[in-house]
Amino acid sequence: MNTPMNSSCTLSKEDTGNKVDQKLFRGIIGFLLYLTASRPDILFSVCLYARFQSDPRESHLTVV
Amino acid sequence: MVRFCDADYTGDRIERKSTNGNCQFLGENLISWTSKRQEIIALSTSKVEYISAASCYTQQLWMKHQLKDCQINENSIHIYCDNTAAICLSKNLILHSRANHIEIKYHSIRDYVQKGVFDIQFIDTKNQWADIFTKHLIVEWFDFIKKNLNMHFVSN
Repeated sequence: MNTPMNSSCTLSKEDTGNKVDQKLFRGIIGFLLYLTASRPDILFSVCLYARFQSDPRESHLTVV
Repeated sequence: MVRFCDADYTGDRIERKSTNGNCQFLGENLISWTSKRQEIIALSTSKVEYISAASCYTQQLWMKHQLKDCQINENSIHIYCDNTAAICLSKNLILHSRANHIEIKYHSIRDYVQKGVFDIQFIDTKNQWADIFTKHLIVEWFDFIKKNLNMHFVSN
């Protein structure tokens, strides 16, 4: 069983990678937030991804 | 009723804000959990933990009132914090020069500690299960906490 996120993984808001569909990104976050109600272990990772909602880039989507 | 509160100092690389994490147990059962980035930038680790404790006691109080509605009088309410400086800060009513910049809303926890509504106790980092809500963990540690949170894999 792996952890939901690699401990060496770092995300940045100043990422200049390709932009991705914001609607898709928000959709995934919304789904994951729903899932946190029964899965406390993914809570931290989901909250971290949610911080990049305003300007999601390719690197963010890949880790999600 | 037990609550673990933990915080990760400047976990956010961009805005240098810290992350709160806490989980609440009623008996052995996990009943509520949160992970939230703090609103303000804290200057020290003890301040971070202090804010974390202050934000988790409100949840504790709410749960206490909920139980009271069900005619359950819960008197042993503990908050476990892994920072001794933050615990001392909550028990000592004097404002030190290093602590007087902390906003007054976070100091409201002191009043409840004085009244004995709940007590804050120290817990070492090895048993701090709220860790899972504040930072990335290695696999072994992650699995260990998951087991302690009473999370089980439901197979078909």
